[in-house]
Amino acid sequence: MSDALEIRIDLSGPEAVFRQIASQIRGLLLNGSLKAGDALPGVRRLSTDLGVHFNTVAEAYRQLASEGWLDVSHGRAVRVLDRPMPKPDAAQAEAYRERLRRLVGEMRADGFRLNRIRKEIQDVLEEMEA
Amino acid sequence: MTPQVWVLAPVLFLTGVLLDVLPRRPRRGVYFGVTTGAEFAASPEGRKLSARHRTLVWLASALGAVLFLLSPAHPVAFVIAVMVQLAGMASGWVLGHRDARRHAMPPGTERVASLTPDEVFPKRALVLIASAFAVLATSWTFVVNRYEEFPQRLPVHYNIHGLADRFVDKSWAWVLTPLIIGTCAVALVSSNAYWVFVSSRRGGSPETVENRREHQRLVSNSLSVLALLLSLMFALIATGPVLGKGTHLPGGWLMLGFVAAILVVVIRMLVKWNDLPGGSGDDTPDECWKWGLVYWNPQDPAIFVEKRDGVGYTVNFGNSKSWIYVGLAAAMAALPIVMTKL
Repeated sequence: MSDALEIRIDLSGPEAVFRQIASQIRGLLLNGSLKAGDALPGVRRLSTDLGVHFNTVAEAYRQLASEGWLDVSHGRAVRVLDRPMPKPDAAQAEAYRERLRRLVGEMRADGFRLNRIRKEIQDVLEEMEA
Repeated sequence: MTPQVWVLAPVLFLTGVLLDVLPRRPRRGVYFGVTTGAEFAASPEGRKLSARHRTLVWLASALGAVLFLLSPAHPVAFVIAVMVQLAGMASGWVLGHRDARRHAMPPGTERVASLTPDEVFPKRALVLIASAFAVLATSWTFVVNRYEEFPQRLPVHYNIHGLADRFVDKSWAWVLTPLIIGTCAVALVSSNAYWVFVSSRRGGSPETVENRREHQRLVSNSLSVLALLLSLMFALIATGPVLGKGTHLPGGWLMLGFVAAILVVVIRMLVKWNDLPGGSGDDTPDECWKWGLVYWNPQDPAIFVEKRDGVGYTVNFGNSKSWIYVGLAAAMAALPIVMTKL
């Protein structure tokens, strides 16, 4: 694990806190900052540090475990698993396309132009590749 | 001037200094138990609250000193003087807290946390705590093996000249009392050093998170030094009747040296606590603090949080796990009393 890895959440943000935690850790897993075998802080430790309820962090870890990223076996340290990339199927692709459509719709409704939206998506992809 | 005046008047003065300074040195951004932001303390309004608190503490100290000097030899004169000082501090705090609330700021909603797994308790603190228990274990062995050499009349109180003025008949309970008290005191201080490090918040809002770990390390290390000093002090008291000069305070000036060293550790912690940069509050909501003194937040998983009335940590009484610690601490404090009554 690279030094000083951290996550940031906003307690008053529109997204549920457990989703913010899960998506930030997922981002670190995807960009390789967290690697197979790395240990993560326990549920109690992370919830204390963030000042959120124990169940909020447990839910985020459970979600990542169900996606195959983490081993959260009871009584053991939380560890990153060696997760083979699954092959996406057509139904999943359609579901993601629908979510993207909704997201782009929300951005357009908030006044973002198509060029700007394209740039934002491009930046996110480049961040992930880096 | 009587010896009581020479010894107790400086103690009253030092108490005044502590009561004046301590409540005004919490984590930066907290003032009189209220989250006000780091700049408030230096603002004209903040300085006004501070000046009023100081005036009340020193007026009360002057009144306490006069009451003490009227009858310095009276057994309760000193206690009354300290109570008057405490009343002065309490009134300064209550007024300061009330006025600071007008400048309260809500804690930020952004939170940062490290993904580094649990850190290891500082090695230096661990060595100091292990040394403290080694000193106590050696003393227990010494006292148990050399029980026969203890005098039939054991000194249990010393006067202002360091001479024993109260004695009890020798028994196992009285011979072991200093070590029982010492072991409980060291266990209490050591467990505090450990739990503060492992059970308080490392993360927090971006403004407060900087050096939070340093604050915990400072407290854990300082408490570990205290544990070692206490173990040496109680070992000296316990072995004194055999190794020392019978009716003299065991160790004589060395004992005063221990007290002075303990004071130095506390003052050093006090000075360094506030000098550590970083801080715009403590990430706890003001409404969960009763008068800025007692923290009750069932939503907060932290067991220990930074105190708002001075240096160090207090427990989150709203967390059921904190009561395990409170219960253990109370048991350790009560054990010597129970043991000596048996």
